Amino acid sequence: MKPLRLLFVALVALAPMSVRAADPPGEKPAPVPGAAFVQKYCLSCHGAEKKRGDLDLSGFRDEAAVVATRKVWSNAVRAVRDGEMPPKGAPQPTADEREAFAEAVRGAFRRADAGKPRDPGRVTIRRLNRAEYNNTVRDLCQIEFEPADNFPVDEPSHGFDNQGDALSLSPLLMERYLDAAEVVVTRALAGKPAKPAERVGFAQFMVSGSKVPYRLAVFTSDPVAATFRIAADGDYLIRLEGKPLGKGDPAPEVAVSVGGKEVKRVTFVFPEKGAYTKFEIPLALKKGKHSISLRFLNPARELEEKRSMYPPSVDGQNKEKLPGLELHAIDLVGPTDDTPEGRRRILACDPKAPRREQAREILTRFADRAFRRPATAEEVDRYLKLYDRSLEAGQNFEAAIGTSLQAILVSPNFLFRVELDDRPQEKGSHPISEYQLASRLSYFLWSSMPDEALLALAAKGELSKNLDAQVTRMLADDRSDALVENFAPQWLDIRDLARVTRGPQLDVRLRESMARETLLFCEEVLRKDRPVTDFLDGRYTFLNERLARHYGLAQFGRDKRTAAPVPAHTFVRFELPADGPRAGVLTHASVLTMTSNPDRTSPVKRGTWILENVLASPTPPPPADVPALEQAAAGTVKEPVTVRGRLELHRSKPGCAACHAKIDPLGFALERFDVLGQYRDKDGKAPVDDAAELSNGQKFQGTDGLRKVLLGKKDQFTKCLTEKMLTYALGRGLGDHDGPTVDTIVAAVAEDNYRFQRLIFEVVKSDPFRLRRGPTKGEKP
Amino acid sequence: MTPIPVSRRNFLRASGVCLALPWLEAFAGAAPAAKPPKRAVFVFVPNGVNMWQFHPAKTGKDYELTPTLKPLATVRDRLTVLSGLQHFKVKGGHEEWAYLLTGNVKGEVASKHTAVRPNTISIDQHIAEAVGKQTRWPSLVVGADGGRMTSSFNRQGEPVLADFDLKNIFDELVGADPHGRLKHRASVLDLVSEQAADLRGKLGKGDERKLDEYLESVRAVEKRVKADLAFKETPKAAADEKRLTLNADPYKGDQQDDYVDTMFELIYLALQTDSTRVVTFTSTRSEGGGPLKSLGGDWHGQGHNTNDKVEAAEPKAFGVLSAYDTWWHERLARFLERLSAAKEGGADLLRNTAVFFGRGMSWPAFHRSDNLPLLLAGGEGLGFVQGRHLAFNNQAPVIAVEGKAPPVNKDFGKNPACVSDLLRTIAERMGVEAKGFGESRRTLDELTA
Repeated sequence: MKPLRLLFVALVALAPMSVRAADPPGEKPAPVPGAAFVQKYCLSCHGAEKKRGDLDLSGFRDEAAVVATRKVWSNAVRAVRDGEMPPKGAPQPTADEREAFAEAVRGAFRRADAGKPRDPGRVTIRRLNRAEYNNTVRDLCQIEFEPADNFPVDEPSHGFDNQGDALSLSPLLMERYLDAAEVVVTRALAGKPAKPAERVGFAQFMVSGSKVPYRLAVFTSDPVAATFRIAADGDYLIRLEGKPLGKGDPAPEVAVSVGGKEVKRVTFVFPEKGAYTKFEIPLALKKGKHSISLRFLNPARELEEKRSMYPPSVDGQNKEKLPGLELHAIDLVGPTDDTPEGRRRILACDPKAPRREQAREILTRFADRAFRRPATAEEVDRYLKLYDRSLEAGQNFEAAIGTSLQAILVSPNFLFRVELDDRPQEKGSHPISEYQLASRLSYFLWSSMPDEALLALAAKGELSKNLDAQVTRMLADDRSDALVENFAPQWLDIRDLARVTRGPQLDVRLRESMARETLLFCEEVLRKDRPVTDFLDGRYTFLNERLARHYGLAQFGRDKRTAAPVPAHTFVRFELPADGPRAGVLTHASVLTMTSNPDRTSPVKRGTWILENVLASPTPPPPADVPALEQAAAGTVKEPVTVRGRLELHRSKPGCAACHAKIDPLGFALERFDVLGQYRDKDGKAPVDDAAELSNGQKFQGTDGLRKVLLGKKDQFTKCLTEKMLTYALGRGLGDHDGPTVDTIVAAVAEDNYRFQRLIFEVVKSDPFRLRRGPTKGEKP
Repeated sequence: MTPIPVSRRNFLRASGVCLALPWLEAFAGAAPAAKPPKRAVFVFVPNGVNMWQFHPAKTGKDYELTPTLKPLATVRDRLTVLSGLQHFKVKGGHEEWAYLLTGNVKGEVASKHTAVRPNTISIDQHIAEAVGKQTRWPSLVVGADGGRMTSSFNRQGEPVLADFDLKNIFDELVGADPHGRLKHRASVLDLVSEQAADLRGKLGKGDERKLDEYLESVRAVEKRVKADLAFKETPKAAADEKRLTLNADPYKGDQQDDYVDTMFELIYLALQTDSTRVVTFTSTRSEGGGPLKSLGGDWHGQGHNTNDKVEAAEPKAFGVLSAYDTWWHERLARFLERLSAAKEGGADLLRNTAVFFGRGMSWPAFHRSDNLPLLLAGGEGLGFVQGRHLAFNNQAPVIAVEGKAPPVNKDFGKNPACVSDLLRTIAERMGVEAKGFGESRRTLDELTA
């Protein structure tokens, strides 16, 4: 608590305390916001008499006086909201009282700010994070591989790993950048793609993100699908490897489809040579995503319960040889044309021009795109000089160009998103440059560089005029998958799902399936432009057979209710029963698992999760002297058996009550879900008690009750989501000055039936996204 | 059999390949009275062994070399056969390569191959953190598969990628830099630091800090590049090119001897030139396709086919295993002889190098991981006493029970020992504290007494 007091001292010393200016005649001044609260809880220490910490909150006459000392009051609000004030021992306000006080003060600020230019804030120069680096290289060089996978992990801040302040650079990373630049340039310029053709993707049978295919045993006619993304139009080869399982009689026959259209049928017989029978199917494909699926046409026996043999650590018990098909790989390779798109585009130049002019043309174009703005003549000259030196050192034309391309790829102008002020003479806040806006857009929606269309608009100075149309176009583009993949897991705090341990039941497939469900759900909300309230009460989700079984929604590979088959390897949309316990992301196994302890559910973690990620109302961490739950309960006369019992005890202690009265009820309502998010009626031997009561006395029960409570606060939820998305989009934490922006966005989203895409449009249109702070004198570092 | 390495010869001649040999006897007079460094080599071999022919029946000095250990007769006095060791909790299965050097108590493995959670640090990387700064490379991590197929994991539990390309390792080793990468890299770094300095001047304070990080990183890398360039200029002795078949393809049955022998030769050269003091060779993956798999018979598959029966019941399957075991022990013997023939500081290289040669699997049929077939060679200078067969954890000799493999030993006695203890002992003998490593509870003083 000490540092805070000191801060008060400093701020109070700076703040103009003489607020007794004459009121404008005839107008009644607005009262001091939260005056009753201040009177009741603050003035005994921070009044005219004691002035603890040199802070006197008594001398304020009206709202204007409060607004004039904004920093003092912002700090007071923070201290009250964080539970630091009033101090231990003093009478404690309820959570709702705290919130109301904060809202009153902020309301005063808002009223004062209305109509005035807003401070758009300042973003620290942002280094590309791993995902952004991979995507940028992909789009810059038209090559599909992921050099950043070997880079050190990016440190997250404010919940996201794209925050300028936290993204640092080390010698190790610098070395990786240099290595990556070499490999990228070599591959982009490769005259002939390495070995027959460049591999663009692997089947991902079970583990999304895995580059190594498992062998997969297929016994049924459910399709096995793999999705590939290719960077350029061209001729490709589908490669299949497999063999019959069991006796191979009848020989497994398989229909191969691309994008749902059958392209070929193949029959797997035992291979004469090697481990597998291999097929290659040539076909022409357009740039973009393609789903290749295989369907086993003559499974000898449709098993009641499908089983997969690999990975053996998962299903090692399956030793029985069943008639079926063992698939080793679905591979898509290509393009088989021997001049890769990237090379063609990078090296394009006027064939009649002298060599050095050709070099200039090539380097200028590449630098323009890599820097996401026109490179200056001086910059290009430097790369040309390097080119000259490389020639002198004995490199040929292409190699010398390559060296300069490498230099571009490790330049700070490439690795960082530099946003120099193009109008430094302008005093107030003003728009960032069109090129900078293009980058902000593309990194927000695509986690990648702007494409030709964006850069062309920026060049004409017409991007800000066409924002809506561009956002619409960008959201329709495949690359916007990146928004879901990078934003959603970080917002919902499920990125670490791969790292939690919960015993053998939580194996690779279940973990991956859990994460996938949440991603697909978020994607649906985005693509279908559903209201954001779907996150709370959407009665649908996406399940594969494993997860459906986990949820008790499937039996023997079939949907329990409709008896429709549930595919083992792909996800399908499930409409959830209106009377069931599940709806929205709160009841996703991913979230419920992440918010549990290994051995028991944690209403505290779940409650905290809701406060932080749904209600934007985080509670402060517990003070250092609080014992763990188990210890706190020990030694009492009658030891409660359930987690809930122990928590009730915990909450009866005054030091804990203030926050836990706010946290615990939210978590209790989810008690019907165990540590892996499976439905249960009993916690140990005791029946589950999921009744809860908010600190304002409102009673509710179970997930249904919780949903109603949360839907009752849907503006607060929208605000939470807005804050998260704005943080992600801006690459910086939000401050008080962002409050009005957040409010404006929330109002607009609410106005438009809470549609999710409206939120994205509003973020893009917001001041902090489009504007920069003007230069200020004596600016603090 | 062996293809004529025309291009390699040309390359060797053209570049006048040489190696700096700081610890060679010839240099001993010139060098200040420095002690030879302590080193460790870790070799992983997959798929288990023919357990009927590996562990000697008798313990102590007078044990008899079993059939598959016969190739090691020439270096018998320089190695110890170990019985009864295993991980306490970790089972292994097909992921035994990822556990062998980590003793990951959490029992799960990270990698894009199989799973999930990050591994724990492997002993070689733990040692490299402490001693790695003294050499050009903190550690040399190699394997026939390469990449993430590695037994080395860093402090964060991320795999330390293995190099599989013999030519590449050799080039790095001799500082040949055939593409002139270093010089170009130096000029690239020159250019970007100019650029960053310019940019820094135009930025605000918060952004300057970021650019400073960038510039410091560039300078640190520049320093390393300069050191590497300087290394190219140091006086060197010629490498023995007859022992190097740098284009051997590990996927081709007739080139596998050459591949492994060349890899061992490169490891030897790396140690001898003091380019590194820690080496890990993850020979090849355990299952599925992969190199070093076609010595006649499907190694992994035949392992399953043994069904834990007696040899007479599955002669073909056990025969294939024995052939592989013998082949590997021939490779190892050659490597150990090579190390023992090189003199340094009045002793030989092997004396200052502990060589751990291990499998993470014993009986292959069901991928058992008890009584692991482990060998420890050399390192007498580190205090290891060699020339014995030691049994830990009350391990009984391998004798058939009802026509099948003996059951898993359950009674470990009073002072149980595990693989992590062995790895920790090697680390601590190199002067690197490793208490708490993996599953370790103690050091194996039996090895040094």
